[in-house]
Amino acid sequence: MNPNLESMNRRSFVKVSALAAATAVAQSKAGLLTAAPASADAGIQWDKAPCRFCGTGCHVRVGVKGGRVVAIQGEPLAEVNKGLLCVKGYHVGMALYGKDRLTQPMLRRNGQLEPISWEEAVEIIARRIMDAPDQFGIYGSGQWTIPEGYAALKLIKAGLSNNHIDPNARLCMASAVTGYLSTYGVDEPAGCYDDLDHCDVLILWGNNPAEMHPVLFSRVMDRRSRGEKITLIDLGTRRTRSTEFAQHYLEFRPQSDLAIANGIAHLLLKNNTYDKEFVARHCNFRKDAQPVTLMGEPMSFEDYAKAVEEYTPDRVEQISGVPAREIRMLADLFGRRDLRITSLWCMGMNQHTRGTAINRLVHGIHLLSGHFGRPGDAPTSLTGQPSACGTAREVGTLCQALPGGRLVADEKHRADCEKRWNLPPGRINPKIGYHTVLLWEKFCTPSAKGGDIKTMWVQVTNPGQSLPNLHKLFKSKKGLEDKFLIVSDVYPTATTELADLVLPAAMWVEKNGIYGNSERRTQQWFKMVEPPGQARPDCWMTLAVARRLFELGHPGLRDQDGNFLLAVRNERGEEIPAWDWAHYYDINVDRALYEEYRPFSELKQKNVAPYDELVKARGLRWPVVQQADGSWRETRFRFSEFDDPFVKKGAGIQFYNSVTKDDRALIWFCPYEPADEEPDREYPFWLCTGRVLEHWHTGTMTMRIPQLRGAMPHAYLEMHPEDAAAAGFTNGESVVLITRRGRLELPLWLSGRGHPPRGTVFVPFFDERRLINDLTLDAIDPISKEPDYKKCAAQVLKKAEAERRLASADRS
Amino acid sequence: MPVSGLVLTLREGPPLRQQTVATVAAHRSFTLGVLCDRWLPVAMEARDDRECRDLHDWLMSLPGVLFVDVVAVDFEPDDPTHSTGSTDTLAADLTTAHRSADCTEWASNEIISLAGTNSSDRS
Repeated sequence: MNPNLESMNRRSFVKVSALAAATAVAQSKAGLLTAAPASADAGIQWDKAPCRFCGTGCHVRVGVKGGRVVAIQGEPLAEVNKGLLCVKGYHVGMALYGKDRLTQPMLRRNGQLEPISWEEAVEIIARRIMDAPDQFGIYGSGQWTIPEGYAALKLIKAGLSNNHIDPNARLCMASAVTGYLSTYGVDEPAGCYDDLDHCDVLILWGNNPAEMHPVLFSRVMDRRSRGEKITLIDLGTRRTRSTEFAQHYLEFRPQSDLAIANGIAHLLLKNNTYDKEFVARHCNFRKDAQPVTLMGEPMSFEDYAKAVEEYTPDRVEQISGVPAREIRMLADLFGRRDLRITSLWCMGMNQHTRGTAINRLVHGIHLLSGHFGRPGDAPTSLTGQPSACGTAREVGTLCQALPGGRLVADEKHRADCEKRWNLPPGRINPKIGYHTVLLWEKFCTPSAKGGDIKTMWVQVTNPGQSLPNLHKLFKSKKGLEDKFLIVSDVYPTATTELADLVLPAAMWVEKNGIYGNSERRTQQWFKMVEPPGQARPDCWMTLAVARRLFELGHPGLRDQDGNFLLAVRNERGEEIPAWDWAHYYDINVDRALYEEYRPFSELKQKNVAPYDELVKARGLRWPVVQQADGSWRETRFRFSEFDDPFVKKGAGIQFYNSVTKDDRALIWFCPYEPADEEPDREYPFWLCTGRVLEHWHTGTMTMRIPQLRGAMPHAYLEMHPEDAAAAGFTNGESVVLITRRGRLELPLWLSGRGHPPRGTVFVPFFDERRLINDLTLDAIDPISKEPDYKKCAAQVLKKAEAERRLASADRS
Repeated sequence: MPVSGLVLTLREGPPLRQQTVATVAAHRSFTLGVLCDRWLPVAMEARDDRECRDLHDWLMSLPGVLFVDVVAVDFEPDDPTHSTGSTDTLAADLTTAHRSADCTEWASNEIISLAGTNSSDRS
């Protein structure tokens, strides 16, 4: 160390460190950075990790001193964030240090959670599974690391021949999955964040990246600050922070985005501005079958043209409220080949009872107009969780999936997995498991009435707050004596409130991990600090339970040679007893499981990088293929010959996973249909729910970070001032929001951060003291099975009036 | 005392830029790095979170400042025997919330507009 630095006190070191980080980012922005910033800090050890929170996949530099995370810097060498972080990201280290961390296993006895040993906990879980293996479910997460998800999937699908596993990602991006699958025959975006650096037009489809993906949004705004012209178009049902930066704000009636997309397609055909060559070479047409299915049925171009004919600008205006001239403006932009257009979306399109349909339609107008395959020309969904793509979608922890894009329902896929896992033929159950809503419905229904899930293990998520219609899908578990809820988590949550067994989990840099972000980027990190008390990684918990099942004689936990199914082996093939906590870190379990999983990724050309390459990188975007010189190359733009190594020479664009097996993508027609529940005389408002910048999802981590909690301490109800005036409400007043499923008292916030139009209210879902999901609708998209959290009918009453009505109802 | 690393994006125009650099340099809470084109790296030292926000707002109010990006935060307590002040209270509050879904009293001034964060979305 520099001797001058040695003499500096700790605060001086901290300032030097902060200034070094800032200088590195300034140099990076100016195009001058050539190496990582110096880390001449007093006793602070720095290492890399992806941020724990959203799906952007920013990389942070984690500073550890004395066994604690003490500092966070944006990683200047990371392509995703180039040294920047959002307000959550630079406080991410503090998420580890809430004072109520769970530190020991606890079993509920006589209504109270009491400490027990890990051995007892593992035994209890194993016995519950042995008792009824087909009535056991795992509810996981897009926050599972890839090895955690892989281990859980292997336990339940290969070991228990039971497909009742689903991640919370069902609630946030399942419609994006079905959109990609039914359009390209394979999941996940073709483009990447580089599109944001090249687009001329950025369209936000019900998306608010200024709050939800702020680092990506600042990447675009940074271009503007350099004088580049970027047209930002915000299509939304309420004004948000993103709207403030948009040249065009197109406010549409909830659910009517399908009409807008069809209106654009109508004009592209009518004006003859669609890309005839692209369509002729690369596209087929398709429509929904009845009943609806993932792959629908073929239609001709002529039939497609006829189907969109009714979506004239005037008709679309009538349905959506967006002026016809604005529909023409959108169609004119898509009709121009000299522009590059990127569409972004997230929950607005996915949490939608027509979520699959609107995903298909947005892909469709990009294909129809040829705005696809060049940098800046891309339809791209964003995810909300750090490994929704990596673990839920790629590993395949959805109830219908197997690793690497394989499907439970496909006999060849099952046979392939059985061969790779050395299972006897027929071990994997051909019947798909329960999706999230059904899984919880079955768990919360008495066994005598068909509730055939008796034991549920929740890992790394908080369904007691995040499921829709909580009274039905979660709270009704209370009092069902034969149901058993196991929850592994880091803090007490709304879910642990009803848990029968609570397991303390290690989080983020308290364990090794691998995540996969929204742009197909796989990211690795190493354990940096010890978890508190007896907290342990979820992956170990799964291995330990699997081993106990093996010892108890469950036949599924043996492969066809009689060996332990979830054996972890070193490079010499020797089994390491990683299921025994004393030996868990005798081997890098993440590396072993990831390398076992990695070959699965090759079937659909999702080739993820070798673990040792991930160690060296700040994430790599699949497909990652080895070059002649032995190096590994990532892919930014899938299906485009100039970048994707799997595209045939001379093809230009090749959709090599095509549904129709002819290298073509599908352009779908899906009609606009009304929402499942729309406002009426009794419930006159649309209720929309969502997130805020400061808090991540259910707030279990961010509400324990004083700075974030201080910045946004409570949930609230946003309402248009004229609606408030008409009802006699004042800003800050406590009002009662009521739907057909529940009621909730909330403070009213007029002219706050978001600006709902008249007839719409908005409530964020981060506040566990005010559970908005007591009120939301559990209606789901018929294909993706994703619920619609963005629209249902509600009424808002003064508190006194609500109490009077409640008392009156009680009397009657 | 929180210490943050910030990057200021300065507006065009050499006189305004020089004036902005001089103004920030004269403030006792800031230590400046070397200006890289339009980007000025800064270390900011504040008494508490409230002052962090106030200083951030002050930077944003300067005519020559276009954006303020926060890129590093140190939250190690000066006295390692004491962790961040209000965490215990937060934990108790949230744990209590698990036993009662009742709304607590709320005052309109409790909603604090965001300040002191990545503000490239605020200009």
